[in-house]
This record gives sequence, structure tokens and C-alpha cells, in this order.
Amino acid sequence: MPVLGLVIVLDDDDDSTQRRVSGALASAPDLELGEAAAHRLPVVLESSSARMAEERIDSLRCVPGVAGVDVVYADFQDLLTRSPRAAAREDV
Amino acid sequence: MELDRRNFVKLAAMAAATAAANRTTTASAAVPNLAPDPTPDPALSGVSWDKAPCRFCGTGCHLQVGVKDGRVVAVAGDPEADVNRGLLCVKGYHVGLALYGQDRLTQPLLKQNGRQVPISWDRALDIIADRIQADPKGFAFYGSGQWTIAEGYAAQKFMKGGLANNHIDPNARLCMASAVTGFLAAYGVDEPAGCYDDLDACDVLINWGNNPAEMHPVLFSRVIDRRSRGEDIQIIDISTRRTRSTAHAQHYLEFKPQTDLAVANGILHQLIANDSWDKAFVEKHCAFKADSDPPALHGKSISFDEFKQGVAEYTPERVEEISGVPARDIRMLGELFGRRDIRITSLWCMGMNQHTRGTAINTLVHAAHLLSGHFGKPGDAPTSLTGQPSACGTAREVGTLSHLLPGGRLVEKAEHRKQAEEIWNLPEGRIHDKKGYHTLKMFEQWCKPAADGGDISTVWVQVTNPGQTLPNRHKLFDPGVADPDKFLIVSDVYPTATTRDADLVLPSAMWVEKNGMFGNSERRTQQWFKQVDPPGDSRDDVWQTIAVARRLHDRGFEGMKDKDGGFLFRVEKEGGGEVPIWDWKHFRDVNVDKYLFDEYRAFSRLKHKDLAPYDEYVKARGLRWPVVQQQDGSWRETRFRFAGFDDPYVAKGKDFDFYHSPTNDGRAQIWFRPYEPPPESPDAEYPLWLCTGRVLEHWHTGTMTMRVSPLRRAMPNAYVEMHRDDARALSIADGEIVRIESRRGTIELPVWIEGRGAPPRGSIFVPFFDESRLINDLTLDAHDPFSKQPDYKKCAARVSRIGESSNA
Repeated sequence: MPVLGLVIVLDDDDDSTQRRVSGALASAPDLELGEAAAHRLPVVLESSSARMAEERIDSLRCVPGVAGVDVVYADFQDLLTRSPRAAAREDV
Repeated sequence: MELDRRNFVKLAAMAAATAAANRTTTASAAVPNLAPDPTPDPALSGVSWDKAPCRFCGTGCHLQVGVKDGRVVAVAGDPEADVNRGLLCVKGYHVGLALYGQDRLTQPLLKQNGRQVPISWDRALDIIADRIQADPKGFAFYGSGQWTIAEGYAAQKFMKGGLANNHIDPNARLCMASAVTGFLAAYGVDEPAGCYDDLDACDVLINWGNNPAEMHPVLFSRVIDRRSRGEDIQIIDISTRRTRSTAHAQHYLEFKPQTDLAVANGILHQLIANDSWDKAFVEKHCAFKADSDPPALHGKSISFDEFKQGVAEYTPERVEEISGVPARDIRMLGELFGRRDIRITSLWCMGMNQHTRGTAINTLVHAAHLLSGHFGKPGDAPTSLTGQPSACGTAREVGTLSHLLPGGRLVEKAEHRKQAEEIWNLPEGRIHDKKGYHTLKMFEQWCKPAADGGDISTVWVQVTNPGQTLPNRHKLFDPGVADPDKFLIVSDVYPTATTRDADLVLPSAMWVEKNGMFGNSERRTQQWFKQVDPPGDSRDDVWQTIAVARRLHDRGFEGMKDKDGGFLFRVEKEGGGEVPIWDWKHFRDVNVDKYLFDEYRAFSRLKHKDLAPYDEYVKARGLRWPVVQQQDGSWRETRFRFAGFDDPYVAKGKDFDFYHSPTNDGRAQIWFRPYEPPPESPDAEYPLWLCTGRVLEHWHTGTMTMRVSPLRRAMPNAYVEMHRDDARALSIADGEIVRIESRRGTIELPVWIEGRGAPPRGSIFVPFFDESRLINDLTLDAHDPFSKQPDYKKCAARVSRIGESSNA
């Protein structure tokens, strides 16, 4: 289960943009939101697979008010310990 | 326990994200970092952390690498690093996984009866020593800008100082050699004067045939981030194909392949026509040049009037006629360069360098900046980017090119050879006085039968993949493989398009499996320590070179001895005695990198590329040369070369000094160079332009990134981008597999219409990362006359449906 540290770049540093994006993401069970610094919102994403993580990052880029998503931390201990068969399954 | 571990991981992830969010909102690198440490206490998390630059591109992002139980398990962007300020790109945050592909090479392999079979290191070293002793002049070494500084330095010392043979070249020849010749022709010394700080200060960013949104995304995000903060930055994309970078640009100027020279001349014309060139800067600091007859790197000096006469032809209308760029856009560029109230940064990479007129277009872009005075102030810079992590630090600086010695010295200059011989304690006259073969010539001579004059019998390849990247592969690679008298040695970490044809394969350590140093695109030298063990019997490339040197030494090969009879790579123990670093069991008894780097430092002063002692780099997230010692004993890096406010080598009171001026008068050279048509253009038989390049997900030939499942899944195979109208004219559907042919080869690829990039009508684009579809079977080996860099960006091709006659 990969854990990623993300920085969500907002369209601007307006409070209302921060509130709108935080509101849209606050209830997502796979995300933990940090404290925004101007137009940047730190977020932790916990995902069931590398593929799901990539798809989730893509979906975050489409949230209104989001200008971009940067990944700044990746823990892949789970990817390294899974069996070759499990790894192959994910590659399908 | 599992919950605790995950909580620690999530805490670390949040700390890293918070650090990066805070750091990136403070544009100045001088602002102290108050963000939390993203690397939690190892005693609690079980993960230990240390710094390392990323393994991939030339940006030089710094990471924090998390290691647990002997494996890299996490990476974080390093918030203390000025280059990336805690951010990573999609390749960077997957870099740790690149170590753990299932098919790592773990033992030496020798081809016997058509099969590669395991052998011992001892036998492998004997085989290489045998090949060298049988034909020392016919031995060649081919490396890359992925060599660490110590690896490249050792390789060129082995060749030039040990074998008295200059046939060593890096793949940088295929990558940025034209940037080198451009800098030499304009300033008399290689590498950019500016740095990444320019991206924080420019008002206009011009991408010349460059796609940083995909190739240098962390750098590009510095500019996009400024926009998000409300700053007004114009981005101008001058290109032959729309890319992800185009989407961020206010102006997209699409030119016909090769005609960027006309566009640049159009800017020079406008500066003169509008009388907006910077007379004070030019009169004080510049001179003019044009091509000589016969052509030479430094050409001939000309007067301003001759220069003016040269560019007179390039009116906006004439440039439109040549290039297809509307005259109004040429005027717009001319007006921007003519303004004194804005700062302009130009960025380029392979688009300008992989060009049969690569040196010319490089010098013309420098000319636009020099003539307009947009030079040497933060935000005013012509800057070439590199594709590899140490194209500058290793390939260019330590002298791995076939004509160079370390520190910008030339093998053909007696004084420079003497200096190298003194530093290496070699007998006078050891270093050969003629330049060796450049990459294309090296492989041409390897592919040519000995009876026909093919005088390269053995090539040792380290950290690169010429079987995939050489242009016109059927000419420059395949015949050598097929010739039983020719021998190919390849050191690598994974099976590649080159190892599969090798006679001897040597398994190498990779990235944080060894100590290392890189030098990035902004003159920043970076250091890291080994953090995990290499798998199986794989070993450091620098050890491989030194072990072969020692094998030759022990057989009495004189070249591997200095003039006192000592080993060429002698390392002294503290307190005396030699450390047997050629013996793998003792290789890590000392830090060989530190020893080699501190020896190499002695070379760095001549061209004012001063390096600090090794230990200073241990403490820093890289330092940009020249790094000079202050009166208080501290070491100071340089951000802006030749500028009086920052460069310690500019005499006090001077605002600029081009102290390696080709005309020896402190002046930079403004070149006039006319547009000339390319060596091959589309015609009735091959009606399309073929351009090749890279994609975001894969680093170069994909040998590492194709082992990272998320990256491989995201971009599993090569494709051909095609314009909808061209596809329709040939009744080709999106996704259909088609045949692509040039005069040199054929491949089959799926078509992608309006895909990642969008080539204009009459053009196609194919990425080169896919080893199962080698686009370099089709590319052209025509090259720039000065840099010898081939042109991968344009040749004539045709596309046809499978099952239809290609001549239909």
C-alpha cells in the first residue's frame, strides 16, 4: 500500500479557493490534509496499489481550483515486499 | 506494529509535503527553511535517511533516500535543496524502485557459442587485459554523462594517461556537444554563465525546441509556480511540434525543421533595424565573428558593419518565408529583446543540440542575448540544459571527450599535456598528442572490418546504451556485432539493447549502491554516499576500471605505472603503504571517490572552474563552480559567471569580464551564421519529417524506468505521433499499427493522433525509449561539423499501412 506525500498547487492563494478545494477533499478516506501554505496544500495519499495512486493523482489534478499536483514523498515498502505474482497482477 | 509503521510513514509523508509547501512559497533560496524535517527519527521508524541527487536527468534534484533492512524503501524531495525545494517529478519519486527490477545483472557473462554464460570476475578482467594487450591502440572506451565524476575521471586517466590512447568519448557527444562548441565559440569556455536562479527572476522564458514540462518538470514548475503566485511571466515556445510545454505558453512559434537559424537571425536583424541593440554593453564587452574558410570553431573576426550586412537578409518577411513563423511574431521577438525593462531567459536542450547546425544555432541564441544585453543579470541568460545527471560534471569537466584532458585542457596542446603528466606523475610524452575518435567515428571504425581500415577492435561501454541510441544503427552498430574479430564489453545494471549483443557483460552497481558525485546543468557539483549494497556480484564501474588497470600493471604493462614505477591509481593508507583498491575485498577500505576527486581538483583552476575539497560537498546540497575559499576559510559558490557582482574572477570595478575570451580581450563573441538547408529533407519518396525524442515517464532508453511498473504501465511502448490530416490521407486510423521507413531502416508502431504531442501536418514524432522498437534504425548520422553531434530531430520518412506496398 503506497503512501505518498503530495503538494496540491491551487489556482491562487485566495482563501475561498483553499476552502473550496479543502472542502472537496476533506471527506475523502484516502487523503489526509495538512495546513495550506499560501497556494499550496500538503496532503498524504494512502493507496491500495501504485496504479490506484497514479489514477488518484490524476483525479486530484481535475478538482476545480487545483492547478497541479507535485509528489514530494513516496514510501514503497509494500511494493518491495509483495510477491512476484502480486506484482505481476498489478502490471496487468 | 504495522499500525505504528504506517503511522510513521504517514507522518513522514505529511512532514515532507508540509516542508515542500512551505519552501516553495518562498522563492528565494536565501530564505531560511523553517519547515519540519521530513525524515523521522530512524530509531522510531526503522528507516535511515541520507541525501543523494536523483539518478535521472540533468536538473540535479536532491532527494532524501530512506533505507530499511538494506533496501531503499522511500524517497522524499529534499527541502534543503535549492534545485528542487522538496519537489520531485514522476520519475524522481520512483527512482528507488529502479534499483529493484527482477532482471538485474548480477554476474559477469561471456558470450560462448552464441550464449552468454556466467564467468568469474577474475576471468573477465583477464579477458579485457588480453584484448588490450593484443591491440592497445585499437581499444576504445565509451561512457556517458551518467558516469559519476570519479568513474569518468578514472576512465579517461586509464585511457589517456595509461594506454596513451585518446579513443574515449561519452554519449554526451550525442546529447550536448553542440552546446559545448556554442559556449566555446561565444565565450571561449564551456558551460552556462547563468543558473536556475534565472528562472525565479525572468519576465520572459523562451523555450527553443525544448519541452521542459516533460523533460525538466521540476525546473519548469519553478516558473509555473511563480504564475500561481500572481507574477506575470511570458512563456514563448519556439518549436516544430506542440508539446505539454506549449500548453503553458502565451506564444507558440512553429518553425519548419532546421529554420531556427533563420528565426534567431530575424531577432538579430530586428535589434539592428529597430536600433534597439545594447550599444553600451556590446561596445564594451563584445566582438563579432563569422564562419571562416575553411570552417573552424573560432571562425574569423568581422566588423559590426559586416555583421549588420550578414543579418540584413533576415527581415521578418524573409524569415517567415524560410521558417513559416509569421513576420509579426519575429517582430514581437525583436521587440522583446530590444526592451531594457524586462529580463529574458532562453532554455534549450536536444532540439538545438541534435542538429547538423547545432553549433551555429547555439551561437546565434547567445548572439541574441549578447547583442541585446540580456546577459549576466539575474533573469537574463542563455542557458542550455542537460539530459543526463552528470553531462556537465563528468562528460564535459573531467575530460572524457576524445579531444580533452581534465579541466578543459586539450590533448593537442603540449602545455596541457605537460600539466596533466605532471599532476599524474607520468613520464613526459606519455599522453598522445592527437585527439581520439569521436563517438560516430569510434563506432564507424569498430563496424568497419580490420582489413578495410577499421582500427577499433574492442569497445568497452559503461553506463550507456549505444545499441539503442546510436543514429543509423544498421551502419554504426550492427556490423561490429556481426564481425567475429570485433569485441564488445558492456558494463550495465540491466540487460539492454547493447548488452544483448555484447561479448562480455559486466554487472554494475547503481546510484546509491556506490559512492558518487554528479555535476548538474547549472555547474552544481553534488555528492552522495553509498547507502545499500549492490546485488549479487555487481560492482562499481570505477572499481572495474581500476581492476583492469591493475591487471595490466601486474602483467608489466608500462602505461599503468607512473614515472616512479607506482600504480597509476595508487592510494596511500594513512601512515603509509598502499591500499589494494583493485582487490574488491579492499575497495571500500578507503573512499576512492574522495581520493580521485581531490586529485582531479588540481585540474579545475585553469579554466576558473574551481572545485572545493571533497568534504565541502559532503556538507552541501551541491556547490556551483567556481567555488573559491574566502578569507574566513569558508567556501563560496558562484551563481553568475563573468558578472562583476558575483564572479570572483572578474576584476574589481568591472561589471563584466569574459576572461576566457577567444579573442583574448575580455570580449564575448556575437556570431553571424546564415541559415542553411538540412542534409536530408522530405521529398516525393519520403514525404514526412521524422523527429525523435523523449517522454515524461521514461528516462532516455528506458532501461531503468521500464523496470518501474507504474512508469511502464503509464507508457508501455513507443508510438508514432501523426497529424490527423496526414493519417486521413493514408486512410490510417488512430491506434493502427503502421510501417515507418526512412532510407536507412523500417519499424512498425501504433499511430497516436492528437496524443501527447501534436506534430504539424507533414511531420511525425517517435520517442526512443522503447528497446523493442528501435527508431534509431531510421535516423540520420549526419552531424554538426564542429561538435560532431548527430541530428536526431529531422530526416525524411514515410508511413504506410501494414500490408500495403510502401511505394504505393
